[in-house]
Amino acid sequence: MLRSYLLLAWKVLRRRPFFTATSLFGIAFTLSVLTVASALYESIANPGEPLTRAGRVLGVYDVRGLGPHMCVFSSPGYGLLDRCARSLPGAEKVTVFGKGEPMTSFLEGRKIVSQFRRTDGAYWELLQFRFLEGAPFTADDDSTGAFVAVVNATTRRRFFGSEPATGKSIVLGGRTYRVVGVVKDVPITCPEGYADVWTPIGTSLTPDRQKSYLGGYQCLVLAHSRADFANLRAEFARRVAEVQIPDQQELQTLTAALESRQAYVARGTFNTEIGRDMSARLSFAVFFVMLLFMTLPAINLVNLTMSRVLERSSEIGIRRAFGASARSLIGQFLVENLVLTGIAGIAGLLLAAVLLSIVNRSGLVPYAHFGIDLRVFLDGLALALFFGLWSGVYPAWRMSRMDPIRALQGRLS
Amino acid sequence: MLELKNVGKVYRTERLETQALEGINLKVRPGDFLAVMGPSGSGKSTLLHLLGLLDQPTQGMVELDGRQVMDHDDVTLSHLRNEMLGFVFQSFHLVADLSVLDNVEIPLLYRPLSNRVRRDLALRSLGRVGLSSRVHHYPSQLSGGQQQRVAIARAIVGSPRILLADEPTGNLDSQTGEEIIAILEELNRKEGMSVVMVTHDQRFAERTHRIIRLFDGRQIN
Ligand SMILES: Nc1ncnc2c1ncn2[C@@H]1O[C@H](COP(=O)(O)OP(=O)(O)OP(=O)(O)O)[C@@H](O)[C@H]1O
Ligand SMILES: [Mg+2]
Repeated sequence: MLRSYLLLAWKVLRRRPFFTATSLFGIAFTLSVLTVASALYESIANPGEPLTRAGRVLGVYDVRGLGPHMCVFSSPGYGLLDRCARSLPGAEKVTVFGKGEPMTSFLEGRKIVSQFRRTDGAYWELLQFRFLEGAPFTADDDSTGAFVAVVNATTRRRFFGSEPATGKSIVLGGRTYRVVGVVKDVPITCPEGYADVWTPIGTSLTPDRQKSYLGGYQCLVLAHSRADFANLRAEFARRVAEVQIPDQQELQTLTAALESRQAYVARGTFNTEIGRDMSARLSFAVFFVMLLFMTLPAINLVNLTMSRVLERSSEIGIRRAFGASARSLIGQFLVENLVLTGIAGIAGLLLAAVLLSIVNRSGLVPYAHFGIDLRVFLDGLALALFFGLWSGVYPAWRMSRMDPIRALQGRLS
Repeated sequence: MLELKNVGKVYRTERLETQALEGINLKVRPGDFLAVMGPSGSGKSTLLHLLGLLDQPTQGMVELDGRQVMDHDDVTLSHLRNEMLGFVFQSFHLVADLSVLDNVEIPLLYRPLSNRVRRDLALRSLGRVGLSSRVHHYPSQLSGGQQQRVAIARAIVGSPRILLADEPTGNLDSQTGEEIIAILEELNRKEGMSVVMVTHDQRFAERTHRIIRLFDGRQIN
C-alpha cells in the first residue's frame, strides 16, 4: 500500500513541475535557514570541545558594584574570584582566567595579532582541550609565574610553519614565552575556550591586580552534579556579601552570581539583573520565533495544497467511486505531502551545509567549524516532518469530507 | 442482488427542497441489462448514485444481497463499491495527471495486490476494450471514444458484478456511441455482468432487457 502511494505521489508530483518546484523551493529555503540557525544555536548552547561538561558548569560572568554616587557593571576582578570562588566547598574544579585581549607580535617584519588569554592551571583540567603536541602548563607554573605558553594550531602555523612548536619560544607584547603545548583551534562560539595563546596568570600578577574586585577575569565552577548547584550558588553569594571593599567611599556593595551559560546568554538578551535565570524564557522565545518563521511558508504551502486539492476534486470523486475510503485518501494525500517535504528537506539540508561551509571559510567567525552533525540533521528532519504534516493535515481533512458526487461534478468551493 | 425498496431522495438547500426521487422500487439481478430513461432533471443520475452506494436515500432503503446498505460505515461502503461496482460517466472522468495504464489501475490500488498483478489485470482490461496500443498515453492525447473505452476498462478491471453507466454515449458521436454500447452488450452477454445504463437514445435503450422510465422523480411503467 505504502509503496503504491509513494509511486503515485512521485507520478503526480512529476506531472506538476511548476507546483512541485514552487513548493520545493519555499520549503527547502525555509528549512535551510532554520537548519543554519539550529547549527549556530547548537554550537553555542552545546559547544562541545573543550567545554564538554557544560551541563555541570556554572560561571561568574559579571559583577555589579553600587556606591552612593556610582554604579559599575563589569567583569569580575581576580581578587574577587580568588577569594569567593576558588575554594568553594563541594566543587569538583574551579578555574579563574582572563577574558582575553589582542596581543601583537612582529615576526620577520610581519605583524601578527593573537588573541591572548591568561589562565590558572585548573583551566586545563576543567576544560578539555585536544592537545596536538606537548602538554598544558600547571598550577605550579602559575604560582611561580613561569613564562610558558600553550598555543593553538593556527598560531603554531603562523610562527613555525609546519614545524612542531614545543620547546621553542615566541615573543608576544615584547615578552618571550616558551611553548609547552599546542591545542586544536577553538571557535569563538565557545568564548571560554577561544584564544590563540594562553599563559599563566602568574606572569603578570601585580599586587594590585591580585586584590582587584572588578575587571578582566571570569571563572568556571565544575560541580560533581547539578544537584550541587543550589549549594554552590548560596555559598558563593554568601561570600560575595561578606566582602569588605577597601575603597569605601566609592563602592559599598557588590553583586555577583554563579550562573549557567544559558542563564548568562538569556540575561544578556533580556537585559535583566545578575543572577536571574531567564533561560527558560529564552528557549521559549527562540522556539516561538522559529514557529513564527515557519508559519508563513506553512500557510503558503497549505494554500498551494488546498488549491491543488480543489483542482483535483474530480480525481478525489473518482477514487471515492472506485473504492477509496476517506481514510485511505487521507493516507495517500499525506504521503504525497511528506514526499514533497522530504525531498525539500534533503535539499534544504544540502543548502544549509553549503551555507555553513561558506560561513566557515569566510573567517567571519574565528575558527568556526559549523556543520550538520547528527543532532542538527535530526532537528532538520523533524522540522521537515513537522512541516509536511502541518501543511497536509488540514487539506487532507477537507478532502476526506468531500461528498464524492459533488467532487465528481466539480461543484466544490 | 441490488434492490431499491420504496426509495425517495430529497435534496435540501437553504431555500429549496427538491424531491429528486420518490417511491422507486427496482431490482438489479445478475445478468440484467437495464436502461434508465427520462427527461433532464427527472432523477436518473440520482438513481444511479443510490445504486452505486455513493449516496444515501432520504426514504426507503437500499439493500445489497439482502442487507441494508445504510448500516455500513465508510470503510465498508468503500470496500463494497470497490468489489461490486464499476462506474462509467458521461464526461469520462479520467485523471489527467495519470497515464492510461495508471488510470485503469485505480480501482486495484484499494486491493491487496502486487504491482505486477495490478499491471497485468489493467493491461488485460485495456485489451478487452481494444486499447492495448495506447497504454502509456495520457487522457488528453486520446479521442473521446478512446477515453470512454479507457473509462470502461477502468470500470471492469476489478471484475465488478454491476456496471453503472451514466449517459456513456452522451459526449460521443453516434458511430462511436455505437461502439461503446457494443462493448457494454458484450460484457453483459459474455461475462454476465449486470449493466444499468442511463441514456437518452431510444435505439440504445431498446437493445437492453428492460427500460425504467422516470418522470419528475417517479417511475412510470
Ligand atoms: N446536489 C444537489 N443538490 C440539490 N439538488 C440536486 C442535486 N443534485 C441533483 N439535484 C436535483 O435533483 C433533480 C434530479 O437531478 P438528476 O441529476 O438526478 O437529474 P437527471 O435525470 O440526471 O438529469 P440530466 O438528464 O440532466 O442529467 C434535479 O431537479 C436536480 O436539480
Ligand atoms: Mg444526469
